Amino acid sequence: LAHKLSIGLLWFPGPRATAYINILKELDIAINVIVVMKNDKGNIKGLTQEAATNNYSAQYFDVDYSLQQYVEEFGVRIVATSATHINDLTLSEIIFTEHVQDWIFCGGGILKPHLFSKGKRYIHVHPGKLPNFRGSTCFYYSILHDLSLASSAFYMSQKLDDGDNLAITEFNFNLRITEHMPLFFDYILDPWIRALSLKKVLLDMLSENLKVVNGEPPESNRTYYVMHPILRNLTLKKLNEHYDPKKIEGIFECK
Amino acid sequence: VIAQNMVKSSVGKHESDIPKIECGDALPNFMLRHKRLLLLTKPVSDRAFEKAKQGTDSVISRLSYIEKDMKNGELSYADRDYIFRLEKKFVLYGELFTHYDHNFTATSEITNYPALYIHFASLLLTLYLIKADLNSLNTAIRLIDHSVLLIEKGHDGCELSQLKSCLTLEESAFGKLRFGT
Repeated sequence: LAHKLSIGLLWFPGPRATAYINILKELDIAINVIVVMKNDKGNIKGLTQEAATNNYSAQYFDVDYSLQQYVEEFGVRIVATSATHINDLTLSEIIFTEHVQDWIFCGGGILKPHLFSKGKRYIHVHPGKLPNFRGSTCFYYSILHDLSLASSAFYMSQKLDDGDNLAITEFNFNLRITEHMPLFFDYILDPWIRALSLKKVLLDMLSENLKVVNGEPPESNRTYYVMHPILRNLTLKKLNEHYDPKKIEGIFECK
Repeated sequence: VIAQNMVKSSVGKHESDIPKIECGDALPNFMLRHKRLLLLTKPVSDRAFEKAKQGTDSVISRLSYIEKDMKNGELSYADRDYIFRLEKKFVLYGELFTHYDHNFTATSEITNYPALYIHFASLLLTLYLIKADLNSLNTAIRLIDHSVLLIEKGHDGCELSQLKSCLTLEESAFGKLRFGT
């Protein structure tokens, strides 16, 4: 029998959501409800083929594991909505009628105040060590800055990438990105490091041991802005230069 | 073509506007695209430039003061606040006006003025070179990208000496990033 967790998932179609249900499957967790949002850009062209060519599912997650598969396997209820963003009022109507307090959110954006009424809480995972690496492309910045990589799960507040931390995970990596892997960074590495922090949160929930963890004090309130393509390219170069063929390839959680 | 697409895409403000990552050696062509500015740019129109520099709310004038005041990359709280607010304005709206009041409301109708962008880019590149501040480098590259696109469209040019200095700073910044020198 699967473990039952009384939480909801706000499903925003895309590789991140897919990584999250891979983790739910791995932990054998059936959640209460999944609210399915719409995302025109959720289907990443070429990802299935790239994943198959490079065997991503062996080390990371199965990009083809579908919501339908998870729902059928674990008997989870789904509610469909036409909402395309988190602040859509049709979405909040559903959230408020469901009897779960905690929602995992796998999209983006800043939550408006109305979403926090009735005690609802939202768990988001960010691809950087909060509070000092904020912004959606901050994992590029941290690699470029000092070859570091981390993700942070937190209860969202009304500010960008801000709230009570629930889990911070730091990673080592040994990766060589070839020209056949143009989607790896944004659609495998990013969702995967987020999913690993989510995994910690889910395990803490299962053991009823979920608590707020202390982060470092912020050095600045400045957000890292979306990184320019040439700096992304140089990040990749730096990562490849760090690659050691004598060591195992992959992304590894620091102990 | 890759360099051209990179320059164009940097005008986008959101993650989803950025094309998939380029895995090859993109830097040489990208820098050439920026260096084309030296060939393309027209002399700045004296009248327009004077106007852009005039007034206590002129961005160019304020940036010049900040440059003079800056010691080894150290900025006063007020100067840092001004630069980061200006940067945020540019990132959020994709353009800057030549004049802003103390509330950062535009007080001029002149926008997308390459001379201002190159001036601001130079200051941010200096900050990167001294402080290794990657956000500043990122914004500086975007400002130069915008200038390339504007000058290609026939907008007013920028001061040649300022442009040369800015591109030299950019080259140094990429050198520092790649080789730590």
